Amino acid sequence: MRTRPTNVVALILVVTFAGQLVHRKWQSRWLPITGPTIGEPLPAVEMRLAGQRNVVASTDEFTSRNQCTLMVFFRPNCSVCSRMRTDWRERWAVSSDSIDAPIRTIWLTDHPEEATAPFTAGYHLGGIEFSTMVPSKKQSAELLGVYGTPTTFLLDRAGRLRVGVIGNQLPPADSARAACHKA
Amino acid sequence: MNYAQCGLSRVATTALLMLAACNKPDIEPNTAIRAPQPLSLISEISGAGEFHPSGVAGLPNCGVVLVGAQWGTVVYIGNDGRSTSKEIKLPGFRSTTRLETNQQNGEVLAWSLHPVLAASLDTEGAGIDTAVVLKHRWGGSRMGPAAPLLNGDYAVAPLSTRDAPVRRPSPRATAPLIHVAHHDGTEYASVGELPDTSGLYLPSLLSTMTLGSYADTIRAVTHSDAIVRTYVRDTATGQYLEHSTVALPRYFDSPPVKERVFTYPWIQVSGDVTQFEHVPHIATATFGSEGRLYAVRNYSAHWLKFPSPFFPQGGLWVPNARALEVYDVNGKLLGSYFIPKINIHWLRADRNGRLFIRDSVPRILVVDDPASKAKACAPLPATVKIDVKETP
Repeated sequence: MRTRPTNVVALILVVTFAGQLVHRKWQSRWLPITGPTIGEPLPAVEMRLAGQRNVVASTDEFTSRNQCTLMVFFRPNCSVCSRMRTDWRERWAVSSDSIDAPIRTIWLTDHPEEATAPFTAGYHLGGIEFSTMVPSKKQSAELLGVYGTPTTFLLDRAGRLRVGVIGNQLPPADSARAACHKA
Repeated sequence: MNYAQCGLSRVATTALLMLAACNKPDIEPNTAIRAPQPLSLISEISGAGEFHPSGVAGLPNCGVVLVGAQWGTVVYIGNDGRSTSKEIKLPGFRSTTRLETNQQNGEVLAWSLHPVLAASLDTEGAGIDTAVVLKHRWGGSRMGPAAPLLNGDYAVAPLSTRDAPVRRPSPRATAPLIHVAHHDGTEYASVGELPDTSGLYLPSLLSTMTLGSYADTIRAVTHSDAIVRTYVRDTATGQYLEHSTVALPRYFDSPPVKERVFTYPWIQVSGDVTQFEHVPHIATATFGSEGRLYAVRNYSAHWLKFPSPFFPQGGLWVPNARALEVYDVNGKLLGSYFIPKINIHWLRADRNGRLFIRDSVPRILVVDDPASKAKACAPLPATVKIDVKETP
């Protein structure tokens, strides 16, 4: 049986059209990306304070401390993190100038403490807590929605996420005031 | 098309290519390419310790000035190959500070994106003079590719850096391509417009360029389309007017430029995740004396796939078969060159017939400029070690 040319053309058109639909559907699906929710506490991720191997804290403890928290997620080989480390304090002082309550500052990484030491050396003063995640693996970072460094989270006094920032920037001053002022 | 990557037969792959775009076909040259001639290496400049050069410029007295990438330490190398530091540092930590030579008077302009910086370097090593960076109409102070002009003035294309394309503040926002400012940061001229294209980042990405100056003109070559534009200063008004446009040869047909932008719900400040599909015709370039242009040309490209949690078609175009082409001030091709086993990251030309090439490792290769007749300097030693420590 001979196939008519018009049937071939029609078949090609149908296949092409169907293919385009499948392709668009495939393109539009988003692979599962986890992360925290604005207005909610962070997912629970355990961490160790640098130099205190036996002290384990958890990100969900922020909900019970009645203190707002600035959490900077860094990696020791991240050059933007290094730049941010050198000048963030002055910039944050401007943003948080009018806040009448203490702010806890935590720099957190998923790298082991040994790899982090050159980055944190000399920066333990001034109330900054350098912490490493427990266990030190990538899943913890993804649980917190950290897909690039530096990522900064500002948590309010109830431990709820107020602002997320990527890059060498800090939460805006008005967000900091709203999150951290005494009730 | 690499059929084996998909594990499919040729026929099946051809059929499925329409449906799923498993891979993208290679971009091949569409015209004959002149066989490049090898460049001969004169000298290799590298740090004895942690000094990684981020910028380099040749000085009129045959010396060389470099700036370190770690702490911005400025180092001078005499023609005898000895390095000295004058204890001058440019601001910033792990910044990328580039140096540009004014081809008319030999003065050196330093610029960087982070921190935003423009400064004139004293060629005698006595100091630096920081210029004020003008405020951009899209907000904040921005720096980009820059060129020194006379009297400490400078031209800058603040939105034109491939490494950090700038997001449009609104869908129709536009801005001049090039701003011309006095040393004190006051803008007195602006020329060109961002490419008229849709997209949040594409106008900035497509305006990636190299700037230079020649006599009373500003010269700009856009990497995306390999077009050289010359702007001449009107002495009556002080403004710069578009004088000529030269299209350099294009060796392949560019695929459509695309951007994909994704944002995280939990990030409110600068949280865009971007993916671009873009194959520029020029990889990197610099302007030299007498208006010459030294451009590293892309001849073809292939699609490199890599998994991405955000984009179904994770990957990017990787250009192939690069060579250095030299054009005169009118856009005439003077020659095509390469250095065996060297991938040029960026380069600079000086007035004394030397090319300074930064390759994949942190060093500067000095070669004879094949297009220059000026050979005023004795060759630097074959190996120059910079014995200067980069410290805060």
